[in-house]
Amino acid sequence: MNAKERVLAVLRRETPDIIPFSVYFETLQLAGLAVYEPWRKLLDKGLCLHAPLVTQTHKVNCPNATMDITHQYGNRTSWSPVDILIAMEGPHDLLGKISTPTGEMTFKASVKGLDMSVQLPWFQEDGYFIKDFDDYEVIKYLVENAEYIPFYDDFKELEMILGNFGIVDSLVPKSPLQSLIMLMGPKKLALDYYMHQKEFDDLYQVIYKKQLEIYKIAAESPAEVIWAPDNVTSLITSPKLFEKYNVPFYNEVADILHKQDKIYIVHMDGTLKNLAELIAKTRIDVIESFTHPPVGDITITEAKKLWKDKVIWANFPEPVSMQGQKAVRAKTIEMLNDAAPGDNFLMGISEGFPSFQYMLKFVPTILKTINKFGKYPITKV
Amino acid sequence: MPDEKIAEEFINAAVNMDIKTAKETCKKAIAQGMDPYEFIEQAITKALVIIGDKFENEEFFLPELFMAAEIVRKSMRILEPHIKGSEKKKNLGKVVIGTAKSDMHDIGKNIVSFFLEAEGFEVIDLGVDVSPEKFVETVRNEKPDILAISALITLTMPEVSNTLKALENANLRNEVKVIVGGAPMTQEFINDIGADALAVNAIDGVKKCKRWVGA
Repeated sequence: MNAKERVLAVLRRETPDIIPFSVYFETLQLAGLAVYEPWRKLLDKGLCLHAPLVTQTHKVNCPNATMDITHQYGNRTSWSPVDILIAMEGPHDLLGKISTPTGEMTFKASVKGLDMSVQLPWFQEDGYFIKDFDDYEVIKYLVENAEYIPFYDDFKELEMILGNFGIVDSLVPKSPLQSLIMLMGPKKLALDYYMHQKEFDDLYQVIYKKQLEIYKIAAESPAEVIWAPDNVTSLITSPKLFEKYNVPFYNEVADILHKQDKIYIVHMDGTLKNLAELIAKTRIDVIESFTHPPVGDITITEAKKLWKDKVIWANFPEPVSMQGQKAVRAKTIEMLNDAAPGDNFLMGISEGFPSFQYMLKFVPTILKTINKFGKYPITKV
Repeated sequence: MPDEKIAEEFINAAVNMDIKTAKETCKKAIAQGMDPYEFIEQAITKALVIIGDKFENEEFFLPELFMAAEIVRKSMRILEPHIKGSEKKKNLGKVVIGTAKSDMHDIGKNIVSFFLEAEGFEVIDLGVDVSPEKFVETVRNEKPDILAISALITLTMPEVSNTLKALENANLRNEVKVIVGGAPMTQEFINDIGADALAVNAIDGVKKCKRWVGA
């Protein structure tokens, strides 16, 4: 089996020859992966590229709405051409203004550099899109007036480029509650939920209804795998919120996607113990970026017991990478043992790391260990 | 209405996240001539203990902590104009807090900060992305009892270690207790870098700080 066949076999609930191991394509693409020999060698040894973030199967247009973004580099008194080039690449703030017929909305975010595929903008507490009820109206306008058009070119092109080295997902928006966390921040979300439930639920319903259109387009698209970047963690999306908001949405879109034989993946990389029983009630196919201790709070064994019908795409926990090769090897073996015999199980890395060179210190160890001990069915070491 | 009854009413409202009733109860307590400090002790502090326990027992999560903080903030706004003098105000000690260099994640840090203040600590919040030099300078100038550092991603964990080293180099390490929190933190890492304690979560961190000052 090649890397792509291996991943797809597990996602389709078939058996692989070896437990698949992936890294996000987005993490590596700008490093010139294709021509950098150490990475290329890893691809030849079975490393799979997973591209969940790059392509969507729709385009969006919102008539009468505009967005201006200013890059703010702080106070400097002298600028030479070299200074400008260096500063542009460096950390700075983004100031944005969205204008619609119903009003304007501003946002402020910090970025590490111009390359946002590596580091997403970080919204400060006073920088989120939604700051008051006037902003609710602007968001409603943007959502209700958005026109979604099927668009498959990017997806098809990337599939062709990755070939047998990886799989390309169709990126769909975060589910409505997770979208609201992004738009207003966890604090305002909590306060509005408790103090202004009617307005909160009205906005939620507007987003919910509109997002179904995108999922319907994804269902009709050539993509077999549909990926939602929900970043669920129980600390913020509490069981109460998850049950009320996330579960019904996941199930409605799962049904839409399953009618067209799509595989529905949701990125859940936080603490999930308190949500585990509710997750079991969803019709999501794959829990991706599942992170076990020390960062997450349920083990692979527990997750497999709780989510018998789901595929677990386990994230290698970041902190272990700092403890040296021995620890990396031991953690890989532990994860394989936990997953034995290995049905419905993949491993991957879905985190940011300081550098590609840094990743090269431990990714080969994981791959080598999986190739040695991860043959399906896994025999416990 | 007896004072205990009003306090109980506030506690129930706060635990049920009912900010309207909580505020009304504060007004009722003042109208009845209840000492605001007594009310803070009997109602607000007790409500925060219950909410903190529920958070530790995983009955409550961050939304409830944010809401509890809002209830206390609004309640204090009602009570403060009626507080005369500051002789009864608790002062458990001074805490300097911030996220490690390059770490912008401040939700946990803000919650810890709020609860420390509510418990009676003086908190100097340095915000996010705090360099080891800044931590050292503040420890030298402010002489806090405790330094609290948060890092949520593996990338910034080495900066926590660098801060400890910087304190050591400035001969300040023995002057201050250091507590560290954040999702990727492990007891092993805390031992390696020589910090004094790991805050498993926000409430655990506050409890450990209180223990250090004998509260």
